[in-house]
Amino acid sequence: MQQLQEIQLEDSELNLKSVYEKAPQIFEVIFREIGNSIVGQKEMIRQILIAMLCEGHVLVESNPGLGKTLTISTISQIMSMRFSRIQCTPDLMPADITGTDIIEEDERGSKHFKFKQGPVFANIVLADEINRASPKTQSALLEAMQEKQVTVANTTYTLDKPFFILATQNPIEMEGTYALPEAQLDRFLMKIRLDYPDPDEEFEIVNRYAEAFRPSVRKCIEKQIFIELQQITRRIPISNKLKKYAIDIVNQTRKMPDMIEAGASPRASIALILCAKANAFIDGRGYVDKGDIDAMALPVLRHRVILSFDAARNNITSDKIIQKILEDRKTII
Amino acid sequence: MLVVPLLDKFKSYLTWSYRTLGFFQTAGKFVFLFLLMILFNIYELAYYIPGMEKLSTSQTCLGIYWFNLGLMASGALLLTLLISLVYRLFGKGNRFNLINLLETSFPDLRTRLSTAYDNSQNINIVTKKLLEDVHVQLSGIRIRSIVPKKQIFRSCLVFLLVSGLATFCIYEGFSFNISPGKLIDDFWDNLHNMNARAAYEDDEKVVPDSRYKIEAVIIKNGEQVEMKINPTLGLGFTSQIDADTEQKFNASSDSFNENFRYSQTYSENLPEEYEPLIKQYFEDLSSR
Repeated sequence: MQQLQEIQLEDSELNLKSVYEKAPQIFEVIFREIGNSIVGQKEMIRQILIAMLCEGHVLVESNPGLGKTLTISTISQIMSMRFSRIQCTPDLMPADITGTDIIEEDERGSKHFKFKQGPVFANIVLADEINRASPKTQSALLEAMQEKQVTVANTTYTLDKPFFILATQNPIEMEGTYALPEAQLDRFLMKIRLDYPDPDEEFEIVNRYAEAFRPSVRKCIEKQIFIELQQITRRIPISNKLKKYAIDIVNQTRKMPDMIEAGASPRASIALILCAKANAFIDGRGYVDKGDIDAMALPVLRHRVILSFDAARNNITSDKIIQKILEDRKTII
Repeated sequence: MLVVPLLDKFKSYLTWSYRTLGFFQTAGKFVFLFLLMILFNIYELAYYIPGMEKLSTSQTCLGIYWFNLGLMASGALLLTLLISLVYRLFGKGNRFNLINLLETSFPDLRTRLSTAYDNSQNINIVTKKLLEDVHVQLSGIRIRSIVPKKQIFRSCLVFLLVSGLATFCIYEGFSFNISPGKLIDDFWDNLHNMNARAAYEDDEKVVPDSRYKIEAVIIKNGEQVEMKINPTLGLGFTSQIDADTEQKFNASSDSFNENFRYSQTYSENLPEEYEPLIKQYFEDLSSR
């Protein structure tokens, strides 16, 4: 045990020590508080939290009324973060999202331009029905997602940390929409599919929200603590064998020309490993195992593969293909 | 750091035991193949190699028996090396991988050990804790418990048993009454018969039997005589025989009357001049 004292940590690491030690309790409190407000949808809540820990963004595909807005606003309240909502419409302009320079008159009567921040200047942004916005507006939003900064009139404004966008789209109504191009879909860390709650959960939802009861949400953690949790997430170690396993899964999507027209990019491999780390961290494990990668494969890869015409004609979905890849690789590790 | 020196220590301890196991397994395979070769007289196959017969008769230092044993030992060794190579190439050989072995033997270490080992140089708040935990667990392991004692014992036992059998067979000259040379000859004969039968059934020309190196060719007046018995030309086994012969057949058989010691015969309406010629041909054939 003498050798144990040899490991010396840098100061930056020591600063994270207390948060790392308290992480299991922090996650427990977050899930409990969200559970006070949201009934069911545990998988969605977990995946949103994973994306936030990975500093990624999420695209949610669901029918209206399944609690997306409530979930995301609840998370922002719990973590004392700024929350804003953008309802995307075809006439929404980029400046409506990013903000614009306006003329302002000061006390002495002189006029000058002042930048008025748009809704993107928040920690958590809900971009509702993103596919209804024009491609120009979508690009402005996706640029903010990628660069985490906004440039207006040659001035660059850095967005506050943490910055998280939850974009939604309705899978049914496609008329008058602008489908997100595949290259832009790749920028979303995950695509989450929401289903209707089961009857028991719906009974509980009715009990809570059809009466006078309004759940109160308590602020649990500071924004700074969440930023430290994000830093720790990237420090979760993963073995070389599992890295190769994740890369192999992504690679398989490029080797199925009969079903997949274009496979996932290397960005998918990074995303898969990062999400697996966050999944392990939430579970209180200081290392990634195979189950973490398997659990994250669907939400990370489903929007990154472009199906071939034959596959689409035969009702083969990207989920089915990814599940098959996982089954084929079940015994490898 | 931390985990690596411990693993190195384990590795040096276990390497010898796995080398011993590997030796007994390979030796066991060799002796087993050698025994099979002795029992089934496989040395005969070596004589299909051109020059081997000459070598066997010309060498004087070993008797023919020991020379044959040497041939079989060489064959068994070659086969053993080949099997080992194939196993190694296809990754089926039980290559000694300490991390896999420890993770399999101690499920608590599963994934954690390989992760700690791969990240032993990447020290941060998370890996430090993992390395410390894994180090504590590894320190508590009694390395002797994962030495493959049973496997070594079993391999050694098999090796000794098969070696004993092989020694018995060598000194007693015991082998089964199976000769690969004879089996191969039989195989070729059967193959030839099958070909001939198939050709006959397809109404093709029957290949002359080359085994006795005799070609049944008869030349008369400069022309080759057709030797094939065409069933449609003769009377065959029919009742179309002359009345005198028929009468003889209908008479009661009498064992004391030697004139009636024959049955139906195969008669052929061949031209008369052919008969002495054919007779002479068969007489020549039998006198060779």
